[in-house]
Amino acid sequence: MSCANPIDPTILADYWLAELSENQDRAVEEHLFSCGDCSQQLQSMVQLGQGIRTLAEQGNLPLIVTQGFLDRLTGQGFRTREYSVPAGGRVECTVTSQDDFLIGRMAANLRDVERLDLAMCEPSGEERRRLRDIPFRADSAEVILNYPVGPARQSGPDLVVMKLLAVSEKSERLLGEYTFNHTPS
Amino acid sequence: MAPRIRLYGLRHLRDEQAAADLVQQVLMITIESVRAGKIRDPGKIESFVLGTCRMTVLEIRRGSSRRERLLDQYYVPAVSVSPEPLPDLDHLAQCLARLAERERSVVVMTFYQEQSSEAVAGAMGLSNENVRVIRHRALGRLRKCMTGGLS
Repeated sequence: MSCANPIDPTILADYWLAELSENQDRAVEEHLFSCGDCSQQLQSMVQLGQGIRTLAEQGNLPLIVTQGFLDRLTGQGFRTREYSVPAGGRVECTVTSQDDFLIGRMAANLRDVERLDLAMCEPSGEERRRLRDIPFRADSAEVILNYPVGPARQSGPDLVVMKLLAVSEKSERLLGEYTFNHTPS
Repeated sequence: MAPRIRLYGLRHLRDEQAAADLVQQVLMITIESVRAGKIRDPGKIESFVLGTCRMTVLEIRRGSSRRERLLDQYYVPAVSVSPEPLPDLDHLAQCLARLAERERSVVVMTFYQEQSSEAVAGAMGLSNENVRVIRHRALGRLRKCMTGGLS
């Protein structure tokens, strides 16, 4: 990079997401129009964002999502298959070629939780995978998981026990177990 | 200049076709101004183009445009405004998988809807500042992973 005074990547992200003041916006734009290096940096970030959006729309990212995200998907015409499970509950589930997204909603009391983990377990209790320190709203009373739809379509019968765990420095506490009994469509 | 005008258009109009239209319109106005002798100092072209971008976006938002009149006078090929190619999606998916859960959720929520930190924070139960820090860290890791390989 030959720019003597490159724009900090944080500022570039703030600019792209319209989080700067009007004066800061103008200063960034004046620099971008006179600087090929920084303009290219912004271009790279925009391409990265477009790639992330494309991957998100393919439904294969294991991801904790928000209701707003799901609303946007359905507003764009994507089809979501959702399963809501209470703590201690079990659901019979599947996924078809018509489904674009596979969503699990797990109800839990999240008040007073400092850190939340989601463990995906065998029926025996052995952990297959753990999503650590997942984002959550203490007042939302549920966690929404986008389960990768492609692998689910390819899967044979599968019983997965999800566990929401409140984690602190010294211990972890089970908030709820959620059994998903998948059968191919 | 066309890629910079396109980025300006994407940032302010959030629409690929509108950004492509902006490129064509701003280039036409610039050509018109050069031919009319309104821009004598070549060093002023960049600031002229930026100023024209700002004015044109305002005009687009007001629903008025000089585009049709200018199209009759000047031909500007649209080839210069084609979207940039996407990054290697398999590689990007692997890089995303390496992020911490919060980082992955924050960058996806941010870029899927091009949401501000305030909107993401409200939806995810985080503070604005926390979202900005997570976003910054995640973007840095993604950039490093995308340019430096997966090892």
